[in-house]
Amino acid sequence: MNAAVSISLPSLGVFFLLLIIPAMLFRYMNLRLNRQLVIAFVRMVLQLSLVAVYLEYIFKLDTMAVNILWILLMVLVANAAILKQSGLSFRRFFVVTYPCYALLAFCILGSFLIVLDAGTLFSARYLIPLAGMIFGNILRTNVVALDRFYSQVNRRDAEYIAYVSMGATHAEAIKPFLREACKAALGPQIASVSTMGLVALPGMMTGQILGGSSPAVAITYQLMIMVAIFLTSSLSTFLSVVVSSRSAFDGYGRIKKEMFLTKDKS
Amino acid sequence: MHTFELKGLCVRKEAKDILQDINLLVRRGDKILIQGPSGSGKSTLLRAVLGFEKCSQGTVVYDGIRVSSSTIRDFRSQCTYIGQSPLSYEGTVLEYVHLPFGFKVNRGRCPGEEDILAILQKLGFASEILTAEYRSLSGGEQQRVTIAQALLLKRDLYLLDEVTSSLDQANIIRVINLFTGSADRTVIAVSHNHEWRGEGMRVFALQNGHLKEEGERA
Repeated sequence: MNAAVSISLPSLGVFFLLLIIPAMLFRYMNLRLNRQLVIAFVRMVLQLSLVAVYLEYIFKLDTMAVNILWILLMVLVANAAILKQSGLSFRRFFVVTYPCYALLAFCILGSFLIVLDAGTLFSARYLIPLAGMIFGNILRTNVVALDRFYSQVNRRDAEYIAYVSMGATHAEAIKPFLREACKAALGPQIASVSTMGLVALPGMMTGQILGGSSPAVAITYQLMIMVAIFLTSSLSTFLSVVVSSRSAFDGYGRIKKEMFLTKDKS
Repeated sequence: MHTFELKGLCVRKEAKDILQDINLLVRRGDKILIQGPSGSGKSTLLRAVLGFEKCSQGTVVYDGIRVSSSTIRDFRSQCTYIGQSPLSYEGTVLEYVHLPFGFKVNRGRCPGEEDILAILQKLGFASEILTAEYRSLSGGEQQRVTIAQALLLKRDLYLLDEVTSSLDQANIIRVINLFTGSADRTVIAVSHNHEWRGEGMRVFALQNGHLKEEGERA
């Protein structure tokens, strides 16, 4: 099979011009989203261009130390994005959440050894995209879980107090909130797994087919990555709530307000 | 627990003094009613006793031991707090009543079905209630089941935050009788319901952050 046909930059530029259509629609509807739209696409172009340059070098270098550093950086960015979007202070939670995410990243990547040989897996061309796919896909579940958990604990603090006063330990008292957060985060993820291929062709598979792989090979990779994504989402969701909650409460079981970002948006 | 004391307790929130210099000595078996206008800090006081509100000054002492982050668990294990709105729970009434007995500290103390039924009957329920879905009960019924659950824990000190606010007259009386009927049971109740002002009750007023016993001079 042939590799994907390359797209010329001028034609890609023309393709980008199509974005004028939603921009005009936003303006017509007075949505005030055009500034965000421009910023988002400019950021995306810059980030992806930089990544393209970095990846070229990383793939060329292809050394274990650089690969590990790259993954650690990826986990750091994911961790920062998760905490920020959940309204949690990065400075205060990072110490507990980062080791947990990093450990999980390496365990999950290690689990690929079941299906791939070590030489293939540890080459930058496999390791980096696989890590990227996984950590790009756990953001939403983690943000939903953390946001739901802390908003419920704050809103239903009488319930938390009732559990503690019935004799529950911290772990026992947060269990109903943890359960609810995991359900809210992982329910949609399960639904998206069950409609995979029917509603949308997954990105990795499409990319591989365009890149010249046979659909059969592309599907086995897609199945593998779906298992890995679900495994990481569910474990990281559970761990991020449990681990962060250990720092979020003081010795009296009171939630520490300083652990949260103050909402200054109107 | 034999005595428990609040010494000079102050709670300040958002630059406002909610509780100021609260002093209260409670002996085993005391029945205390705290009344006061809405927003006077009654619920905050109960939460402060349990260590869920940060006190800017003052201490809580029980049996001579100052409550701190290292002793709070021991203290809480002798109290039961019931809030004004019942917990949300999915399952039958029996499962709900068993809920606290699933916690490590209460394991092995799970009451038998007869004890559960006896207390539920005292609260005006028939035996069929055990198999009913907790969620299908009215707010007042859920509250009474929650009260039964708390009583089955057989703790020394009960902190009750407007527990009778959603109940009808007959049930208010039932609940009050259950809490005040036992000489060993120490009760601190915050309530607007005048039915609590019975014999043997020490009545306190909380106003502008100050707690004053009825009959006490200003």
